[in-house]
Amino acid sequence: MMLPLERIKLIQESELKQEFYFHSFFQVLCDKNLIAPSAVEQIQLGLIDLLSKEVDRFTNWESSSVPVEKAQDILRSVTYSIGVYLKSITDIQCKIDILTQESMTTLFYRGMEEVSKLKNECKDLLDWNIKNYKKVNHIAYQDTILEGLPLFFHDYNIEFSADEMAGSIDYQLFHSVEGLIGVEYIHEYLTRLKLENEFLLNFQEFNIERLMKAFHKDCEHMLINLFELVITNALGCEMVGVSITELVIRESDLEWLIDKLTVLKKEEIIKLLMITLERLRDKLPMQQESVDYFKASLPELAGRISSNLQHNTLNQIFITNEVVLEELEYFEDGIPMEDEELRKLIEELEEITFIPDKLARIREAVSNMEDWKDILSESFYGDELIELFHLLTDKEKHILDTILHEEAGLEELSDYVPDQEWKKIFLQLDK
Amino acid sequence: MDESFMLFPMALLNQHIITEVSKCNSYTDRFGLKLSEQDIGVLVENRKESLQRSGRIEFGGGVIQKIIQEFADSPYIYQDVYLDTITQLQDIFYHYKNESLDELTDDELIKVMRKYFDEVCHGSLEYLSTTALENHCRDIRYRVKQYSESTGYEDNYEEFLDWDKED
Repeated sequence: MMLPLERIKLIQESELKQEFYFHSFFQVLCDKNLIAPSAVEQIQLGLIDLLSKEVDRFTNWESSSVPVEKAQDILRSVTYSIGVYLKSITDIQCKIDILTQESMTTLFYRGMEEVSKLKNECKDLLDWNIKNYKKVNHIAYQDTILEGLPLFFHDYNIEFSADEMAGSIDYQLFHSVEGLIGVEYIHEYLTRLKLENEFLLNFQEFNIERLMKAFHKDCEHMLINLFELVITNALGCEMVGVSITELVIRESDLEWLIDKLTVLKKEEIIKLLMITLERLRDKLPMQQESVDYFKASLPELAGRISSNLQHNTLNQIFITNEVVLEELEYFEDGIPMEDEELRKLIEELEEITFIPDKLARIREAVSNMEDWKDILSESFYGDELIELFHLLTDKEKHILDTILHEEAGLEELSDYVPDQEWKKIFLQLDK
Repeated sequence: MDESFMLFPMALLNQHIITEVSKCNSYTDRFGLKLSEQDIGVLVENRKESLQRSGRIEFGGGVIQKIIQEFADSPYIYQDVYLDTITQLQDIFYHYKNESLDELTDDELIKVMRKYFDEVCHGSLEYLSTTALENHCRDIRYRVKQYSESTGYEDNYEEFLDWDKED
């Protein structure tokens, strides 16, 4: 039955609940008398028939009754799949025609096809994310991508629990997915994760980890969003006019930002962020989708900036990381010694009796992490190492710690088996 | 109950069951058993209450039909007690479906009920519901033995008779 246009307009797509689409749509049709009572009854009977068949399939035709909770789960799954199919049809009149003319079983099987299609798309999205995720030391991020999300494909049951969110997701997105369940949720989560990871691809792992360390020393254990951390500092860098890809904001840069932003109202900050984002877009390869994704969050970011300015805590938004930078640059940027030069230094150290003297000579001559590692393994043994480590500054200890963390990779340090004596002793040391 | 079930017209469901159950009379006639329309109404009403009490939902009238067919030739069932017995058996069925954690299929549970009813309980519904089936389902819950390995009560008959004796 063709409905007049003004009656069809009674259905506002935006008012329908996306997670319970079928229920929501059917309820609107009933409430606004958009379908005949006989059609309502036909749909209800069709659902009973379908649910009855699905319960039979669930119990393998061995039980005609199930606990109410199980029947509710199956009904939710069935109506979720029908809802996914109805969502794939854009025209409202067409949706009504299909709902009233096709059997519920037919709609259910078409829904399962749609769900299956989404699941396959999810697989492609996950493969992309696994291939391109940043190998930074962040537990929730890595666990979600490498373990939690793949679980979804193992656990997800299209027929009896299509509306459930199988898998395990710990990593929080910049914009969390709301109003969706089942495979649609996972699809949206993976799509957003891809957008975030695409952006992160513009930055080296080293730079991201440096920023993470500056944010918090235990950042790897925290449930934070890496993308948020990176884009905020990238915007800050762009505003200040320093290199975006290094993500380094110094104290002096922060002072400059405070001076510049304090005089602006929230709307002006939003505008400034928008302009800065456009400038970022010129410098970094970004898809329009990604830009839209970031833009949606700028008003919230502007609000936070405004509020933090009032409390003089803008350093919570733009992370200053020059101290960490110095720590890591202390060795990383040093020029490695020539082999001959290094050999001579090792021989020279053998002639020095006292450990503090040896250390002073090393500090004078060595400015590269690799050289440090070589000297530690060649020139110090047993108790000498213990004494040496006690003489190191906190900064030097931190760097050795970083070396070991890097070598341990994804393993916990307690599980890591070191291959050299100095590493074993350093790990046992009460720092 | 979830609002999703409000979508269903319960009157339509009941009518469907009444039609299904009334078909059983043609089979039970030979044993001198018959349910009037009013009896079937009582049975269906009781079914609804039983399902509610046990927190279960059922589509079609499958179980009442199966219980009637399985118990129709029991020596302990005759017309005077027919409706009352089937009503209580139905109640017991749903209760023990839960107690067995749905590990028993409908057919298995009905067969076990019938065996205990005739051979152990000698027609006592009280004994069946409070002792015999309770013992059987406890074995299933605690995995005393795989039900699939047993053919019914006879496998643990000795244990069953001694179940309340001190060691």
